[in-house]
Amino acid sequence: METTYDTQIEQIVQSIFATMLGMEVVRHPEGDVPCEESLISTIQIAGAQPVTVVFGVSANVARGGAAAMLQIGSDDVTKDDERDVVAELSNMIGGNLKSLLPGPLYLSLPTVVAGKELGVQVPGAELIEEVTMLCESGMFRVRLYEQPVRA
Amino acid sequence: MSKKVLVVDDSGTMRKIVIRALNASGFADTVEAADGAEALSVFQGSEIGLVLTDWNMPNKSGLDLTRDIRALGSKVPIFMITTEAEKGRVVEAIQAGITDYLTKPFTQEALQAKLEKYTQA
Amino acid sequence: MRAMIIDDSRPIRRIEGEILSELGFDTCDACHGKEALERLQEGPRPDVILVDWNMPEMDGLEFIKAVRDDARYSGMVILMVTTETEPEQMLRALSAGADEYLMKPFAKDGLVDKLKLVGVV
Repeated sequence: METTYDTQIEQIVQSIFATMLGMEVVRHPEGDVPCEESLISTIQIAGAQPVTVVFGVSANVARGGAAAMLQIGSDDVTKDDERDVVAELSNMIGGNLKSLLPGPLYLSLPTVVAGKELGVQVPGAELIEEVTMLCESGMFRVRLYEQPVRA
Repeated sequence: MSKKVLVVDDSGTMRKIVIRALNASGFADTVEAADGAEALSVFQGSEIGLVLTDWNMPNKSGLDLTRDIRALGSKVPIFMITTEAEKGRVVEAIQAGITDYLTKPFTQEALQAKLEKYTQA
Repeated sequence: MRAMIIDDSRPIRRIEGEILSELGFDTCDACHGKEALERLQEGPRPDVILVDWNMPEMDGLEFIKAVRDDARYSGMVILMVTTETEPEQMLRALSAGADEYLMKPFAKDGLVDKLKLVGVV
């Protein structure tokens, strides 16, 4: 039985954005939109079948998300605020997703990289799910990669 | 997967939804109960491989049903279906002996993922 | 009343800190378990500790065990606040000595309810 995770990712993200940021989230109406991600957080779910979660947000989502989570004006948001908020959001996505995958599994700490038009690469891994979403600040994407299992 | 699944909910509509999702996930053999007390007698009368129960029900809650099943010495997987409000009390349900929980409204995929997690191997 | 917040995420420390301050707590922070143990040794005794699970240096589970093994800290209330949502993880945290468990993401009311449940609010 093939399990797909896109609906769950959507639900998890909706719940996290609603609770922590007070923002509504919808699926991006067009599936294949150009990459606008400028801040990307990666988190590993280690176990029998390792999975990497890549959470990439546009510059506007990084700023708007940080402002909403920290309850400050968007002009007061620093680069560190953006990185920390994106890291924590990815941590919540990874943690909640982990409960749906066959265990036992261990969550790594998030790693955040910044840069325009980053080609997200998870060496040797296969992209198994990609969900592009929209919130009031703009677009962001969640990707799941399956790591090859060592024999 | 020839496990008989006991679906417990005081709402007939909810039972239908859950059973449809179970069927779609390959669990064809299901039996229903409308509250915890009825569920307990069904449970004692047949070979049940999995219990999916609502939390809030008349006569006997899902929480008490879980305690009663565990008191019988059964290790059957019990999934509690919780609302967002009950999620804060999930620690209590875990201590009572549930195997896992699903937050309403859940998708077919979410149920399927949980089923695969506990019925594999 | 005093509260200690242990989380490697600055936004989470800030959010929890603001909620606790509103409730009238004096708060202090630590980025991980090791730093928190140092803080406990040098500073005033907190009435309640909010601790994350996954952190560098020393994780929340190790921290809880260390506190529960130390007679000087007996009776301290510990609330685990984490993205770990599986029942088996909750049971691990509770059996290590956590008094309650709150899943991330959480709303303000969720945290306040847990603080009431452990009797510090």
